[in-house]
Amino acid sequence: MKIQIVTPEKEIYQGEADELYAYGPKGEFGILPGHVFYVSSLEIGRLYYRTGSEKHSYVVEGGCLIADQNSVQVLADQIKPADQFNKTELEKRLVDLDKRLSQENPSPEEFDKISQEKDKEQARLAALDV
Amino acid sequence: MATLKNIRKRITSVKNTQKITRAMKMVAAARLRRAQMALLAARPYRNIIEANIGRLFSEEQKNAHPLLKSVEEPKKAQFLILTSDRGLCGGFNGNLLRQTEHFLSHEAAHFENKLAVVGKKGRDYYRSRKVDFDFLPLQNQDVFSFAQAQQMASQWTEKFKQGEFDRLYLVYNSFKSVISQIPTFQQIFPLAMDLDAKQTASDTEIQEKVRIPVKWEGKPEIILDQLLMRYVASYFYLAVLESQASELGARMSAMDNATSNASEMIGKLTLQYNRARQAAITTELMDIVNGAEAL
Repeated sequence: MKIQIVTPEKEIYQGEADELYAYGPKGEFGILPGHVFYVSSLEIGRLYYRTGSEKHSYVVEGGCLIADQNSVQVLADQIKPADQFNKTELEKRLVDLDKRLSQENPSPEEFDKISQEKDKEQARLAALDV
Repeated sequence: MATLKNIRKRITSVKNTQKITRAMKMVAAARLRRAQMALLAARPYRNIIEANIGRLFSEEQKNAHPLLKSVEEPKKAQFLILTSDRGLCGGFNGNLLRQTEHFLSHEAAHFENKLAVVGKKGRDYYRSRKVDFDFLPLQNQDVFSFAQAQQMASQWTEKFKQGEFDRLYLVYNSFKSVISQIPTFQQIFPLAMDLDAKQTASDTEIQEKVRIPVKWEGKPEIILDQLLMRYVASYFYLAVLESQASELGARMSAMDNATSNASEMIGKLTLQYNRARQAAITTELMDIVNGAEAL
């Protein structure tokens, strides 16, 4: 199937893929060729597609996905390739964020901010795991 | 007749001007390449939304959505005109503003028109004509981001929802090529759904697509709203990018012309200078010969 991944500022990928996984409001879902006409919003999470034995992994921060019989179009607000992250660094930052959540007693807004940050880190870690 | 010294002075000054115009041309060319890349990279996003949005909205949703429905009798039109801050770019601003005048007095003559201007050149134009307008300077234009476009879009959307105007037009030069910029009047609100237009193009295909029910993940209204907002923002974003690329293209060709005009002028002046020099030598020689004969 044809997939096209774009952000408002640039096109990330356009071409063939055998399957694509993304992260929606209900968690991760996969799309294979021949899918029903399907629209989903995208949450912070990993997105990857497979072409043959090659896998390409990204981290998406919000957006929308439109799937169709034989095409998938991903409109990402922000997207980063997974290979620019480093596993040990991510793990360290995750521990730091956990510490801040449990020890600093943050205000509700801060709490939201930190947990969003945590979501991002976790998504990045997951993206490395593809 | 101009003296030798005067001509020499003029030649130097034209040469200096040529250096400047040549440098400006090079700078414009380098920046144009960047602007063009950014423009090309940004187009697919809007194209995807454009291609899908028509079939995602049902008829009822289309008629009910505040951004899509048109008032019975539109009275007030708002224009947002993108001009440049700097001059020396040929007919870039003049052309756009002239076309705008035309549009206002013809196509939009039955509206009560309000103007908002981006760019100092447009501001100066309307200020000197004592026309009422809002001036909206654009912050750090050189790295205009989608986030900025979203901000712009949400401000105008708010105003439209509050009924400050019934139509919003975005006026800018769209980039065709380095030498060709086309003044464009893009209607933003109410958003036009191109579904009907496309139906004539590939009637059966679209019809088939329309009949397929959509399966939504998440609330359709929320997803559609987000999609629409991004759609609107991408119009603003692309308009600014188009305008910037056009400005640089216009400047590049204007400066190219100026450089070759300067070359021509230097040629003419050099010829004049040589003639004058020869005339002076001849006169001097005659003086010497006459003097020698007199002895």
